[in-house]
Amino acid sequence: MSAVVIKRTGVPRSTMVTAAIAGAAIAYVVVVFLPTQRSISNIRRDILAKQEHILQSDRLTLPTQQAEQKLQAVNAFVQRFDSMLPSTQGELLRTFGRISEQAKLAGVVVRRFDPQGTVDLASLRQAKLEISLEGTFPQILDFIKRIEELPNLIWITNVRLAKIEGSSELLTSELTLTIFGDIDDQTE
Amino acid sequence: MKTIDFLPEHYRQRALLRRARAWWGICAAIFGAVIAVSSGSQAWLYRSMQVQLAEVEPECHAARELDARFAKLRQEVGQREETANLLAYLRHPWPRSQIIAALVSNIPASVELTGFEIQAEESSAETEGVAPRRRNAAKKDTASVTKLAPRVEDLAKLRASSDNVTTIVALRGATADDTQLHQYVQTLSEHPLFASAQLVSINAMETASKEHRSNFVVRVKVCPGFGQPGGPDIVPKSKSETRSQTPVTSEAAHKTSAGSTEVKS
Repeated sequence: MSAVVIKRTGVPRSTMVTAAIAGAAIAYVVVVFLPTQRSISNIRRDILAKQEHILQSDRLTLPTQQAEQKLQAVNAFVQRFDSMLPSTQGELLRTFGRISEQAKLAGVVVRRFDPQGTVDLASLRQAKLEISLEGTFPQILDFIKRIEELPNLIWITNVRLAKIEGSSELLTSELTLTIFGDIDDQTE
Repeated sequence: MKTIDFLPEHYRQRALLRRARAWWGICAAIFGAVIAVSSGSQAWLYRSMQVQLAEVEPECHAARELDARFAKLRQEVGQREETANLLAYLRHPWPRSQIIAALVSNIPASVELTGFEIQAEESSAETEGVAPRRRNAAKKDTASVTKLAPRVEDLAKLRASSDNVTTIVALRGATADDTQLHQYVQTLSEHPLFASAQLVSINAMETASKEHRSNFVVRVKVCPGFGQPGGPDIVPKSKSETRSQTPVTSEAAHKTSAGSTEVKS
């Protein structure tokens, strides 16, 4: 009977079976084998990338330690000098007070103490101050040294020193100071 | 002799069909075996890869954390350095007491100072040889201040206003001995704190006792401070390979150099 059927359709049964097996093979390759192979390759790539990342990170240990040390050093420096920047109007006035006090301690006579107002930069505040003094040379030099040793960041921009007529010892001095303050936490 | 096959045709067909079925069975078995082997090996490979991935994952996680920590550290260091650079720059001017001490320390007996003035003077790049490129960079920084962090912006502004300024001392006095005055000027010009010293004017004057005296004006140029163009190196050049211009070193250098001149009042 089957031979009769084959004859009727014109296609041999063996060809049909071969075609079915080939089709199944192709379907297996396309649907199962290749996608699985692709995902295996992806995982392998992933593993390699991660291993590479781990290797590179191993090389970061020393730079990380160095960066930590550097940060500590920079932080120590910044903390030390940040505290030298008056951040409020009150602190700035205290700095003026300290300057006056140093004048007394140095033995100079303050003739003029003239704050010139402040100039705001982006993060800093510059307060200008003009002072006129009278005293002997050692006293004036002592006063300048005392200002430089104050726990503030002060630029002595101009210094003028001249003899007072008729006096062999006394000098007159004019100083222009720039006192730096912090503008960040300016609340007052 | 000729063999005669008396069997009917459908018998032969049936035999052929049996043989063909046997071959189909073999082919199907081989195909099934190939599929089974490849599937099995793929499954084994896939599982071993998964295991490897799982083993690598914790190390990779740790590596990612280290990366993130390093990146954060670098960012923090960068931000803190902006402040540190600004604070270090605020300490660049030479202490005025050191300048005054240097001026009076070697003064000859016959030279009498009547006054002096320390002031900032804008210097021209052509005559002073101050690094114009750096100054231009500072100006550019100031021009693009909107893009900078406040600390960097302030540093750029301060650099733009201070780096092209030279500290000048104008000394006035009188002397009875011009030779000693010249020697004094020579001593000043050789002092490490001063870039140059020159006699601007010397005018003879008559005194009541007919003694020869001259009024003079000397102009002394102070060296640029640390961190300024033409200023001293923060770290000696021999160590330039490993140098990191942290302000801590700059500060130490500043102290050492400034402290080398004793104040004699």
